[in-house]
Amino acid sequence: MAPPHYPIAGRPTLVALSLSFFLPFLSPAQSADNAPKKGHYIEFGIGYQFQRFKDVRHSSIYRNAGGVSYRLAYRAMNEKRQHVIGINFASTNSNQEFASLISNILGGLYYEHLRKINNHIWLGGYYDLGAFYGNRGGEWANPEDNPTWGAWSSIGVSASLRKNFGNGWSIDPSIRLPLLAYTVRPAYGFPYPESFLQEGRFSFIEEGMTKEVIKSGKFQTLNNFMNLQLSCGLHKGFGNRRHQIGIQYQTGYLFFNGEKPFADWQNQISIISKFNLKK
Amino acid sequence: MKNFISILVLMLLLSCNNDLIEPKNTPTAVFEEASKYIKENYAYLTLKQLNWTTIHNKHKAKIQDNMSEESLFAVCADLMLELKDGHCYLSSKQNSSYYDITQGYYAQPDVSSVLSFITDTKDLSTSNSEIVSGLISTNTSIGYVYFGGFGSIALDGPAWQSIMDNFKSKNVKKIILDIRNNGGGNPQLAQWLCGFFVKTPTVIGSMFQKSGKGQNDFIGPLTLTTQPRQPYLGDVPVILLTNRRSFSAASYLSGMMQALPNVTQMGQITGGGGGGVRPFELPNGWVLGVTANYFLDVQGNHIEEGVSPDVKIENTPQDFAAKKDRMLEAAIAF
Repeated sequence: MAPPHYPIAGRPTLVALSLSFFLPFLSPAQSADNAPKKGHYIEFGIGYQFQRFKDVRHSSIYRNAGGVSYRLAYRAMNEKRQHVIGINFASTNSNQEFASLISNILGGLYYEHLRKINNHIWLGGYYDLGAFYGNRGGEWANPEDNPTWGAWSSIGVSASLRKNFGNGWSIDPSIRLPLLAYTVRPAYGFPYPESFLQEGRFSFIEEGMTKEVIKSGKFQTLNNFMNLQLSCGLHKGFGNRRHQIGIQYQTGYLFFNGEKPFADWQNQISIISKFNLKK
Repeated sequence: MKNFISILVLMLLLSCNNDLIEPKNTPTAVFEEASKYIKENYAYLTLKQLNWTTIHNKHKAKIQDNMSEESLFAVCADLMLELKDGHCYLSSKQNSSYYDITQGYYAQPDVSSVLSFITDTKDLSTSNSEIVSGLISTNTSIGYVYFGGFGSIALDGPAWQSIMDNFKSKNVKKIILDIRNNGGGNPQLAQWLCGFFVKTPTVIGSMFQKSGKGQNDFIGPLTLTTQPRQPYLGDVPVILLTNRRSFSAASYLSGMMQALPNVTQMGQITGGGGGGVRPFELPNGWVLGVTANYFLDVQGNHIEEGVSPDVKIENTPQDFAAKKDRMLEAAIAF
């Protein structure tokens, strides 16, 4: 029997990639001043997202999808603290290789609070709400059991590092890691949550099912839910370095454990612009 | 920082599951995944007395890892066809395989001849379904509806409401619901329609839902109840006209209406299709769909192999060629 095939998002790759985000900080400092300018920033990003995902409920294989990603955030920062509210969204489509065709959307909104530890490091936490939804077409004849989906609300820790290289160039890797989440995923008896599959409750007409689906969620910790987000941007300041424009690479690993687990590895490259509204 | 990285590494190692390992794309792997999926998800292995280990081994013997894609499709299709279930299917980009529920039966390819029997015709078709209603022209106290599918309540419900309101206002003395060649669709609509024929909430059947990988892992029985709706037409005799192509939600309606007092089913045994389909993607991208739950009528009978009519009558190929509809004539005369 052929050995099992680990996907590109295998554990060793993920660990190595996570550690590599800290490599820039092994190099000597180029500038004594690593503090970003205080102010109120609007940040906008647009890019391309590549996903590799598997929903065990629907498939034995990983599928690839690519498409456009968007990000919009508001950041208020001073010498000691940052508050960020943001929204991100991506829409991707699978290739035409297989019998079923998939369109996905993945998005969420978040609030993040960071405190300055030293000239390089900001630490804090975040709260987010997110969801993904995958719609299958092609040779997928059942609209009832069509979608791949999941939703979550989580809190976690976040860290951001910053290094200036002179002439307005800077680099800013960051990481977000959930610690506790409330997750909603289809039960084994999809489309019906377990609470719906009770005597006296069940109905094909599915009245009240939306509420039951939301209530069917579970609190999960790290071993059952993962939404690791790593990003690193290279920016150039302009406008007396009040604003920035640059390129950002972001990678994420979304994972729901359970009887029918789901895993999604995202890679995204974006153009990011940050405008300081403070004069 | 060191502690943080240690925690990160530990956490990443924890967040995995062996089900996320991807099988190789070989004929053996494709066959094994298909067989495993049927074994863990198909709802009728016990009812149909299918020994899946024996069936698996019988077809496994035909698998060779250097076989062509066409040959592999044929073997996997034969495996799926052992289920003899019109809901189950295997599809690739180039090919598809379904069990033919009409094997051994003659069910006419279309019922367009009904249009010559009705007057005051209203075409209420929606984007979901073909719905044609009217009165029987030789006896305008008989209301008639033909519908080719079961769409959503949201889209089809208003059409049905206007049909039932019309029947009530015309004070019809009999209703013919013609679900011949109705390939099914949304069983929600079937449950909803039964409400026009009851005065109080009425149990119309039960469901069993697959809840785990074991052959007998089910939740159920879960009773299905129809809620009364206006106008009430339960004191009007209803003829439900069926043939072998009355499949899935059409069989559900036949099964559900067994619970209603004034309903007589005439025609041919329905095509069955007593459960909902759960599709799955195999390692080579083919899609396999299997039935993952089942319905029982109020007497506890399965509808998977069809709901038998109270009065049996069938059109022959000669009737169809002559545009004659003896089934509908019998329903009118009944």
